[in-house]
Amino acid sequence: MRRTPAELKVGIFAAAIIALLAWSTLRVGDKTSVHGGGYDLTVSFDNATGLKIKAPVELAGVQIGVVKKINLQESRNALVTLALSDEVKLPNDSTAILRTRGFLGETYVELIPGSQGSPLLSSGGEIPNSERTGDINSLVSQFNLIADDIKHVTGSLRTMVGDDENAPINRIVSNLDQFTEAIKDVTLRNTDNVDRIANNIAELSAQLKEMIAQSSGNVEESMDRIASITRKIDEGKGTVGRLVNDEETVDKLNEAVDNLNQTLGGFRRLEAEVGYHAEYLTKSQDFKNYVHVALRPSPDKAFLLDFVADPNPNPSHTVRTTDVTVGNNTTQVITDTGTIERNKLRISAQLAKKFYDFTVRGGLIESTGGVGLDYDKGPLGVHFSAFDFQSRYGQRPHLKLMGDVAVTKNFYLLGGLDDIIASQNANDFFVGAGFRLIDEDIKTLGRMGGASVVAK
Amino acid sequence: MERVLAIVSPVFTPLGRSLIAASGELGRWCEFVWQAILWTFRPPYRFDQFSKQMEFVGVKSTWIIALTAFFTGAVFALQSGKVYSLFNMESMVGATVGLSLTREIGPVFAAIMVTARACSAMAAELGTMRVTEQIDALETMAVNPIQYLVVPRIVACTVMVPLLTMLYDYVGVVGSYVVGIYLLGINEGPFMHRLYYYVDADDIWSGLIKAAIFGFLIAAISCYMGYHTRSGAKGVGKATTRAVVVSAVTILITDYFLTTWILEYVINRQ
Repeated sequence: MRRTPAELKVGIFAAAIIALLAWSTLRVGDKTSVHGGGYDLTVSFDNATGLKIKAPVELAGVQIGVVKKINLQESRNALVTLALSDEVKLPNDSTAILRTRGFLGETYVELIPGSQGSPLLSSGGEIPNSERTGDINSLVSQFNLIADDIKHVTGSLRTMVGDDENAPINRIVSNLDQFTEAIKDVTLRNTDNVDRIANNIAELSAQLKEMIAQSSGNVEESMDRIASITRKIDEGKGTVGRLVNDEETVDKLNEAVDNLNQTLGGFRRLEAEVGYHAEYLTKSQDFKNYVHVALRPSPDKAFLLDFVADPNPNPSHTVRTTDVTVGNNTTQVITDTGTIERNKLRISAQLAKKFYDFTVRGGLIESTGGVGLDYDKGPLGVHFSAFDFQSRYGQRPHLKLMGDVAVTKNFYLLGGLDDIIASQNANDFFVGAGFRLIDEDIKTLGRMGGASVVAK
Repeated sequence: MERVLAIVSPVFTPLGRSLIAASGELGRWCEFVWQAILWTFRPPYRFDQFSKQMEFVGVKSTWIIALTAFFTGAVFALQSGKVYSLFNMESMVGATVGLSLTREIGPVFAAIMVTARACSAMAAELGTMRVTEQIDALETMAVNPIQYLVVPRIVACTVMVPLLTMLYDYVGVVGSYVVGIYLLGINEGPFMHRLYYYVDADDIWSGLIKAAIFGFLIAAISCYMGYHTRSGAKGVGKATTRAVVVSAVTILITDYFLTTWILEYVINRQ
């Protein structure tokens, strides 16, 4: 009897634990009434992702069984075997739907009974309809499509914005930035002006208001008259009316305008040049001044007009024949007076024609007939003139050779020989300087006024 | 050659010796276990010895197992409840604790508790009997000491540790239930539903299989340590210490490999 308590204790202990084990096993295994028989049905799904063995099978939210097996059917579909409670009877046109509880919940099978009166499915039968709805996987695939779209949009946006500073949006932003900066700058600098303008406008509008109030009668009368006049014009009454309404007038006006344009165009093409230069004659020890004007209707033709103040011209001879009568004898006295009129203004007026770099000119040179030849190449120019061919008094033709070099567009230096073969003061060397103004320069000067000419 | 040996031998000699020693130890242990298994099936069957050992290992461990299980389950629920509350999944606490207890914590902790309480006692008892020559006395009386002393202990442990594990599982879940429902305020319905839904009979059975294997191993190790005790009272202490340490280490290491096999072949749920 001393041993019995040990055996008894062990027995009671073991029995209690085994009972606990049995109870627990039943509780955790009690997912359905599978343990109590039941029957099997099969259903095929296109995709049984997430479905596990022992996943619940529900009908109207009530669990009626579990998933018993998941197999592959013909290497194509998932064939799912459901173990259902005996109490549940399903028509043979029932539907099985694969659903997912929430985002993280398990996948389960929901059964939708078919029409009443259809034959019932028995063990081993197949549920004919299956679908899969509202689960996370289909949502994810839809999200993928949406994400692709968004990716396209952001991709094109990136090419418009991007890191590239020449991307359209970036350029717009940068321009806008500069624009607002400029506006800010202008506004800041002109705050006073803006204020003044605003004040003026306020004042003006006040005055206008007053004026309009005062003269509203006049305005109305004027408006009436204007209406009357325009009506008359419209109807073709009066000179203006006929003019306006006559097609011929318009044609003639157009013609006239065209002609005017052509004429003005001719003038516009005319290139004008004015200039001045001074020569210091070393032998005569005196200055000779020239003012010249050149008009070029085309690049190769020119009309040249010079005003020359010559300090040492050839003497002009005056021959005076005087009859002196003493008694009855009449003696003819001939007086030849050579006069040198210093600094007499002489005029040159020549026509010039350019061949390549050479220019041939002729006409009046220093108030006598003469011809000349010029050679111009870049800043350098060589000029030869021959004039004053009068030789009655032992005079020789006036020959002049001159070279010039342009220092700037407008300023030039010159030097040469004057009166090369003259009887007196031959080979009079000279040096000098001058400037010329061509067209645009003249226009500018015209605007600036005489004082600026020197400065220029 | 001698020079090389002079350098190498101080390093490799102890290593080789300990290897040889360990191999010899393992061989003796296997021989011991083999003897124990053989003698289990040989009459005479001493049922009174079996009941005594079962009472000692099983019944008397009830309270300590229940106590540790309750608090293990409770603290597990507390920790996992905090984590699950981060994403409003507190109802998963029951399932988590249930799965952990049945699969891992139940068998391992029950075995370790039994090691600490019963197997240390076995090693000390057998060791004392060995140094006081009581085992030699049994032999002179033509009673096989392995059959008389070792077999009941190993059988008792192999049977009782799974039962204690079952108790551990249940009380642990109760602990998690108390903490979950009353402290963390988890709804009872979802808590129990998920516990029943996720915990399967397979989980419980796999835990019990592990527990049986643990029970067998710890009893065999502890009895071996006690049975081969030498050099007096000091030897008994040493044997007891080694029995507990080796048992605990064996439990944890074996657990990994057992779990691998069980996950592969027993709980083969997709």
